[in-house]
This record gives sequence, structure tokens and C-alpha cells, in this order.
Amino acid sequence: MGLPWLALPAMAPEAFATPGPLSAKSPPLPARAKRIVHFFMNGGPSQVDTLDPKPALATYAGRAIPIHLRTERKTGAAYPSPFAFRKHGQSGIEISEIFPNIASMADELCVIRSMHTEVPNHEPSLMMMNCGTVTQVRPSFGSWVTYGLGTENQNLPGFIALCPGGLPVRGTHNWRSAFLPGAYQGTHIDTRETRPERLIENIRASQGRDAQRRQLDLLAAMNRRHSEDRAGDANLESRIQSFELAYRMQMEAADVFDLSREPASIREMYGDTQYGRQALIARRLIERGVRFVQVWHGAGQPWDAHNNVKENHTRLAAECDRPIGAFLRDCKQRGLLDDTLVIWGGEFGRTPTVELAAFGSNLNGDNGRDHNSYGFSMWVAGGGMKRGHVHGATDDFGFRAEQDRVHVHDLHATLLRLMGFDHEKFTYRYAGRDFRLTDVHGRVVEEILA
Amino acid sequence: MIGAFNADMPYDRFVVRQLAADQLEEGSAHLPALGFLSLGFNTPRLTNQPDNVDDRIDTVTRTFLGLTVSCARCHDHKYDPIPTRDYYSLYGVFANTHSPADPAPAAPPGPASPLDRYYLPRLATRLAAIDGYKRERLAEIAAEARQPETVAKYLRTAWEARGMTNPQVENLSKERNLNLRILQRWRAWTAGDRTLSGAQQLDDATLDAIVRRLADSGFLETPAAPPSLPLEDFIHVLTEGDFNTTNNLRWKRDRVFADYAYRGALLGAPPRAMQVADNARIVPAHVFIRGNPNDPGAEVPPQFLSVIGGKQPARFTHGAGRLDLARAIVDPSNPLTARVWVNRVWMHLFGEGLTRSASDFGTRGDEPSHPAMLDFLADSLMRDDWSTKKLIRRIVLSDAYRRSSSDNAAARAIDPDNRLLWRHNRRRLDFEALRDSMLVAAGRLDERIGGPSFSLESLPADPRRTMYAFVERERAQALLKAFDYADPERHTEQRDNTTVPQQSLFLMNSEFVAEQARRLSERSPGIGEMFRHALGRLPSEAERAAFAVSEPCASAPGAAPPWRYGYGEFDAAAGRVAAFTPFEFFVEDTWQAASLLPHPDSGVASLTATGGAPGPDARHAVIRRWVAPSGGTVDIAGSLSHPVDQFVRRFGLTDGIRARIVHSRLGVLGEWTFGPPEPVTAGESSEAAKKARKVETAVAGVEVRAGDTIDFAVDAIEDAEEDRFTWSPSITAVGGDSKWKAAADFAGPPLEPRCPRSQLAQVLLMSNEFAFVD
Repeated sequence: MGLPWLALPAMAPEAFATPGPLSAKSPPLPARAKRIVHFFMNGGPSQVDTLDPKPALATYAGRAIPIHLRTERKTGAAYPSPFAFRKHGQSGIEISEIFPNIASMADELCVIRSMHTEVPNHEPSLMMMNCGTVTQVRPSFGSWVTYGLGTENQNLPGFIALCPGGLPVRGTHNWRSAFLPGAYQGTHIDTRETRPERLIENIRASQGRDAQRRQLDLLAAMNRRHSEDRAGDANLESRIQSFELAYRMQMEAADVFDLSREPASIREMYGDTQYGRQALIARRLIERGVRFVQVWHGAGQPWDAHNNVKENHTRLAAECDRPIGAFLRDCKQRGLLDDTLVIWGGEFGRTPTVELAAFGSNLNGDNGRDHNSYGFSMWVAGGGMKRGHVHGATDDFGFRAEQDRVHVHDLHATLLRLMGFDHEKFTYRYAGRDFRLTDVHGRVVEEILA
Repeated sequence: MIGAFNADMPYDRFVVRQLAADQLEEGSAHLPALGFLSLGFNTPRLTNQPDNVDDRIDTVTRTFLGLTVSCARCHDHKYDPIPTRDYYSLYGVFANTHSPADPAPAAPPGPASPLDRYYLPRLATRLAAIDGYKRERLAEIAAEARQPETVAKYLRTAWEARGMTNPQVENLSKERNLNLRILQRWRAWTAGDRTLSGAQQLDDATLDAIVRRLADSGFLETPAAPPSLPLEDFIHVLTEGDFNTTNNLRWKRDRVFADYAYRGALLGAPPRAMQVADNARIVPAHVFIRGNPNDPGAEVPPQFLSVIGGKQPARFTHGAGRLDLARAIVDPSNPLTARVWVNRVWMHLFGEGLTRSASDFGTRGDEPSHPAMLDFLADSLMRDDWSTKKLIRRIVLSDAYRRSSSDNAAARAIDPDNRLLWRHNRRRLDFEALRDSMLVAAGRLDERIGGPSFSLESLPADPRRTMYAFVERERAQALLKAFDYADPERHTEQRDNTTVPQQSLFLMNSEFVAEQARRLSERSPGIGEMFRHALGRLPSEAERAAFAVSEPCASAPGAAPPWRYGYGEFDAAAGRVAAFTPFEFFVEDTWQAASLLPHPDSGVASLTATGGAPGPDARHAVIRRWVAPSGGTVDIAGSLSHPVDQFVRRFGLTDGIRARIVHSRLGVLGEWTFGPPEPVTAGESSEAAKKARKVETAVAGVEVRAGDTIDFAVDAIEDAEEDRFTWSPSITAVGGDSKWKAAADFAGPPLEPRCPRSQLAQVLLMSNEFAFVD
């Protein structure tokens, strides 16, 4: 450009004096895991078609089952799973045929078959799973973790929510920081977008790299001069640094989202699909030190199979099984699984009984399942969890968690413990009291810790 | 609110109007103040009502009193003298207050306008659909609940539940899959029936006899019978399908209302504002034991907090009690209100309050750094008839306020936190001030006070003051969040002050900043002016050298794009599009006439890559226009669809859409109409329903000359509701390679070209000197 820019000593980019809100911190207790990836099956997958086989449903096919629990919509007779289950691995965990790849990693999984939550509606259950409360405005799990631990890579957001094609139900509330500072809010990335530069707002450099460097050098020179007679103001200094961070974030983001940098074999392993790409992005993010990654299946609530659960679950499992299986295998071979918690599940489960067609909910015949907050299944793998283990059980039909029940609060308490926090002591002062992710609830489920 | 502060409305009157403007005999001018109570956290489900009320209690008590009364919801406050009874005294006030569905006009309505004639019947249709649906469903529920075996089940349960607590009854209803509301009504009936309430045993024969008697006497069909739930009980029995249906219809109705109110305001009707009103029937409040609304304890009177009002505070007597509450809050004997307000004003001027926990003056809050100052200012405020402007003047004329923000090593060693105000705190502009300042530097700020909101996401940027930006409570905007914007659903005493790279990315790369930098460089003949506009000073010699740039930015003439987006009228007599008005704003992925819709003239008319929505009537068709770059023959392809959901179909909420392809010389090339939708039939497949409203819009062999236009125009026929369509045509040159695809070619306005001079201007806008106030 031929501009007479100010002469300026080169900045030492790593020489940061002031810790920012996202600087990495150590947890108060010994931690078993450093980061979390949550594969969120939004809409609520059916436990009896995925992780919780119930042969009794076949016995009762077409007949009423002896358990009466109130459901949101009318449901009728027992509805046996259209899918076969088979034992897998050394552990012999039974998993539905729609998840062959995840099942091949069965010995890494801790399957919880006794999950339960409060309400059989999506919005409150999403809030419970993400923010530990049914309705109130509270920070999300990811915001809490990022608040407590900061993040390992200042060039990327610490908490990222990947969701292709739009937002899940309740939108940004699922990763809100609420009364925690805005720096802990999740950053949403629409993974339908394949151009790296379009994934984060304003991440695309508005000009050539050299021109921008010169511009930032001039800015730094001006800011330094401005600081000279304003010594000792950390706010000025941290704002100076944030431009350097942003400059590097542009490059780091372009790099992390650019999957062409992965070997073909790895790309092949995940599959060149939307879900495959986002699972691979998730691995690249945690590998670079991002603290918390949520991977949503898609906008809205794809797993909400009121109609035709067979078609719905077959299709969705086909989309995510190979990528998640590859993610587990890939993380294991890289040693990442040892200190990463991988969570799989929805906001609740589905009824073992068939939903009856009705205006306003479903019009397409009696072949789907209604919401179920009484019992559902999830699995967690990695850092500090038992491997190849099944915890808890539902009744004979998979309707209600009966044995070793695990509430969402208990899950949160347990995961926080693995991240190095006592959920009863991990608090934030707001509105006159100390808030917790688990409010006044939650028990660490010691039985599932390795 | 902005008007109130500009007019220096005394703070005590301000507070009373915020809480109870509807109860004052002073006309409707101040009714918009009630937005404070109505625009909070809201969830539509009944079971969440206690949370909605809690939000009001929390917001009101922390805002005006600096007390965290919500901590006393489940048990007495752990630290402050606020018993649970006090919480529920206030609970009654807000539980007996509701937000009417619609914002009411702040002035009496005039004679019926064309807008009234269009919208009012449509609003009525939707309301009637909701009520009709509820009645149908209640009738179904009642019919089921009148079955003899069901009646027997309810009766037996009601009888067994005689001595139970409310939570036990609730559990029992769940266990037996009975509706709690109907069961409660049966319990009430059972209590009034001597044979049943007195019976020690209830054998099947006796029960059967009672059931038969009830059925034979016709009692079960009467409105008093427990299965005959009244309309207002619908909320207690609704299923997910019912919730979806009524909520969806409600949402559709509200959408229509929003267009009505907003367009009305733009066209000169009295503005409307969200309000609150007392419930028709005032119900006494009870303590909820351990916060459980299904376990009510002792009744509590509506009254003020005992810690301020004394052991026996006066009972509130006006309706729900909002006016009494407001008057108690601003009573001069209340030690908190004036101090809390004074402290907030101080906080906004100094960056920190005298008491740093500005919304918690309780025992766990922060001790004031200068208690005497707080007392003095609070006292002065009341003596000055609660004038906020006088308060501000008093503070800014003080020695403390006028101190420099320069460092002083000795003072810093003693008081590093500056609690003693040895210097002024250097402060970073918040997002609103930063954005406004950039518009000022660019010479573009629209300083008008009042009027409609605008979208922060439009291109080009709307130069209105940022405080008028539209903020959706349900959606956190990443940009605002990056700049510590408070959660719009919660009371927030002070914004956080974080520095994150997303803020810098906005300054480095956003179109908004590039646009302002370019305007700044264009309005500044030299470097001196550029510095003056941005920083209010002249550059130093070194800066002059560093910023010396010769040539001004050249404008980059781009080729005119083949597609244009706008709206206009189709002249049926001439068979031509009579007028075409291009859309001015591109918001996210949509071309439209205003940064925030509806537009007074073109309504919600808009276009995206793949479809759009027409304007309010047949004269405002939305038009995707193709301009022929050269002559030849072209083929037109594409499919048009008008998808409607099952609710629109069942309740007949649209009259369909009409699409035309119109050539500027040759006239209409094709016309397609979708009429009102087909009714819903049970068991149909959703695929078939989708196909029913889809058509191919192919026209072959159209002759064009350079400059001819081909318009893809869609209009609303007579009713513009539920008219979103998809249509992304393509045009192919016959015998050539050229192809124009509406979806692939779709783009926003061309980006601001960067040039050295505007990049320098941008440096000034990014600088610390610009962002901080010493």
C-alpha cells in the first residue's frame, strides 16, 4: 500500500499480562476430565429402540400394558421396537441394530438406562438438560463449565454449539450464559455452512492479511501511545491484546473448520456428510483446547418421532451413527478419550406405547411414540466413567426408570465432579444468593465412576 | 421511559406509574409505563405461573428496594428479615394482575380506518377458532369423564382422598391416570354429599348406586357436574396436541395483531403499549409450603414488607394492590427507595455505585463506601421533589466527579480499587454508546427521539440511535452478547465488563464499522478533520505522518446485477406491472422495505433466495425482477408452492396467493392461483398435502431485448395472512450458455469497497482513545 506506517516494535503475542475471563483455570478438586462433547439428540430418541431392549413389548404387542402413566397425548397399546438388539463387545451391552458403529465401541460406553426428568415437554426438558431448571432463566451447563475452567485456547470461543441449518427448539437459551458474564455464552455455529470464514460472525478478515496486519500495527502504535500517560490500566491493556487475539482467531478458526487439512482416511472414517463434518469439527475443536462442544442433530427437534418412529429413527441413526462411532474411535486412538467426556442423549425419552393420531400433534397413523420424562437412556464415555457398563433399569416395558434412578441433576452433579467441581460448592452470587447448576438437588452417582 | 427522563418526571411518580399507571385518574398518557411489569419473563403454561409471578416480585423488589425478596419463596430469607409470608403477600399482588393479550392504545381510538376494517375481522376469526377448539375439546373430555366406569373411578378416588394433603392428591391422580382438575371438582362434590363424606366404607354396590343415580338424574350433563369443565379450566386439562393447537393459533393471531398495531402506529394511529390490569376476580394468596404451588398453606393478606412497613403493615385495599404497593415503595418513610435510586444514578456516572451491589441492600450486599454521602444524596433527592436531573447536576458538579482519571502511584498503593474516589474511573463505552459514537464520527447519527425500532442486522445500517434497536427477548443476538448486553429476560443491576475477541472482530471486520469508516473518510477533506470528527482533537505530528494518505477512495462501479427485489402493483387492464419500488434493506438473508417489518406501505413483503411473502393486498405484489442483459430467446423454469400447516387448513386462515410472470413488453406470460386451502382429513399423508399446493411455472421461448424485465410477482389476493411461498425461478438462454438462477444468484447489497483512507479512518474508530472516556 506504500503507506508510511509508524515504526513499531514487533508485538510478542504470547506475552499477556492480564488474565481474561476465559483464561484457563484449575478446578478445586482433582479432575478426571478436561472437556466435554455433548451429542444432543434433540427431540428425544426412544430408549426402547436404541439402548434399552424390552422383549416384553413384543409379548404385549397390540395390547394394553399393565403400567399406566400419564402421557401428553393419547397413547394406546404396547408398541414393540421395529429394531433388533444384539450384545456387543466384551461387556455384552445390548444396543439396537440402528447403531452398528457406536455399538462397536460398546466397551467404552457407560449406558445409563434409568434417566428421568421432570416434564414430558420439549422446552422445559431442554432447559433441564442444558440449564438444570425447567423454566427459570439460568446459565447453561457449558457456560458453568467455561466459567469454572476458562478455556485452553484463547483463539477460539470456549463453548461452542454446533447445529446445522438453524437452531434447536428454545434456540440460544440452550447455551445461554444468563447471569454469568457474556463471555461464557455458547457460540452457535451453523455447520450446514461449509465455508470456514462464514462460520463465526465477523470472522472473515475484511481485507487482505498484510493490509490488516499493517492496520492493526498502526492501531497498536496509537494505543501504546495512548497508554503511555495512562499507566496501570488493565482495561486498556486487555483491549489492546484482544485485537491480537481476534487477529489470530481469524486464522485459527479458518484452520479448525477447514476439514481439507484432515487426511483422507480420517474424513472417510467420519463420512462426508453434514453430521460427519460436524463430528470431525468437534474433534478438531477439543483437540485445540475448546472446553465444551455441543453437537446438535439439527434445527428444531428431529428425533421427535410422534409419527413413524421406524422411519425417523432409522434415518437419524444412519446420519449420526458412523460419525459418532468414528469420533469415539478417533478420540481413543489419539488418547483424547481419557480426559474427554462424551455424552449422548436427548432431553427425554419416548413412550413404549403407541401414540394415537390426533389433530394438533400427529395426523399420520398410529406408528410413533409420545414424549416420556419418566424414563430414558443416555450414554457417557471417556474421562473417569466406567467403561462397558450399564447402570440402572426401567420397568419391564421401558416406561419408567425403576432401578438406580438417575435424575438430570444427578447427571450434572456427576459430570461436574469429573470436571473437578463439587456441585454443591460451585456457585455464582446473583440476586442475593449463591446459584448452582443443580440448584438444591443432585447426587454424584458414584456407581458409574471408574 | 425516555420521555419521562427527558421531562424529569419526579422519580416517585415515575415508580408509581411503572407499577400502577392504570389505577391513577390521569388519562391514558402514562399507560405505556406498565410495560415494565408486562414485558418480563413469561411462559405460557399455567404450571409456570408461579415462576412468572416470581420474576415480577424479584424484578420489582430488587429494582426499587434493593431487596432480594425472591429468596423467601421456599423458606424465610436466609440473611435478611424477609419472612415467606411477606413474599406471598406480594405474590397475591402480582398473581391477581394479568397482561391483557394485546397492547392497548395510549389514546382513545378514532373512527374506523381501512386498517381496522382489514384486521379486526381477521383477529376475530382467530379468536373464535381458539375458543371453538377449546369448547370442542372440553366437550370431548366431559363425554369421557361422564362414562359410568370413569365416574366410579373418580368418586372412589375422591372418597379415598378425603383427608389427604394436596400433594398426596396430586400423586394419587398421577398414579391412577386421572385428571387432577376433575378429581378436585369431584372431591368438592363428595365433601358436600353426606352419604359419601360420612361413609366409613364404600363397597362397589353403593358406589354403583350413586353413579346410577347421578347418571339417571341428568346431573352429569349439568354445568355443575365435575366433568363439565368451564372454558377457563381448559388450561388445566390440555394435552400436548391441545397446547400446540391453541398456542399455534394464538401465535398466528398475535402475529396479525402485531402487524395491525405496528402498521397502525406508523400510519398515525395512537401508539400502543403493553399494559397490565387487575384480574376480574381477586383471589386471596396463600403461602406455598416449601414453594410448592400444589401445597398451599395459610392465607396471607396483600400488604407491604414487614421489615419496612412494621409488624402490622396496612393491608392493601385497591384491587390487586399494585397502587398501594407503589405508594408504599415511594413513601418518604421508606429508607430504601431513595437510596437505591441515588446509588444507581451514582453508579451510572462513576462506573461503580457507592454500594456496589446496586440491587442488594440486604445484609449480604456490599457496605456503602460513603454512607453519609448516600444519606445526603437520598435526602436531597426527596427535598428536590425527587428530581433526577437535579440529582445528576449535584453529582456532576462535585469535586469527586470532576477529578481526572490520571494515575497516582501513592494513592494506588493505598486504595488500588479506588473505593475512595481519589480519581475518576476510566470507562469503556458500552455497545450503544460505541455504535452511536461511530455514527456521529461518520456524520450520520439519526438523533430523533421516539418512533419505531430498527434492526441492528440490516445492510445498509440504520443510523438510528442504538437504544431504539429491536431486541428480541427470546433470542440472544451474538453481537450484543459479545458486548455484555444484559439478558433481556432478567433484572440485571449492572452489565459485566468483559473484553473478548468477538468485540474486536466486530470492529475489524463488520460491514457496519467498514461503512462508518468509509463515511468518516469521505466527510473529512484532510487528516485533521478526520481526527476531529473521530476523537475531537487534532493529530500530533507523528500521527499526521502515519496517517498521511494521498488519494480519496474511488467508488467501484460494479456491473448491475441481473436480479432486482422490490414490490409493486400489477395493472390488470394494461396487463403490465405498473410500478416497481426496490427494497432498501437487506436483513440477514432477506430483502425488505424497512429494517424492521412491517413497512407501512408494503407490509411484510419480502424476498429470500428461495421465496418470500407478498404485501398486504393485491396492489402490493412482491416482485423478483430479472433484467435482460442482452436480447435473445429464453426459457423460464421453476416451481411455486404455498405450504400451509394443518392449523391454517383446519381453520381456513388464508385465501391463498396469486403468482404472475409479467414481461415488460409482452405482458403476462403465465398466471397461477392457489385458493383457500383444503380442509384436513384424518389419516392423510403429509406428503400428499404438500404436493397439493405446488405447481410448475415453466414458460418456453420468451423473446427479450436488452433492458426488458421479466417480473415474478406474487400477491395476496385479498387476505395477506399465511401467504409465505417458495419460488426460485431460473431463466435459460435458448441456444446459449447463459443461465440465471434466482436462488444461486441471490445476494445482498454490494459490500463497501475497502481503500487505504477508510482503513485509516477505521483505525481511529477501533482505538482505545475512541472506546474509553477518561
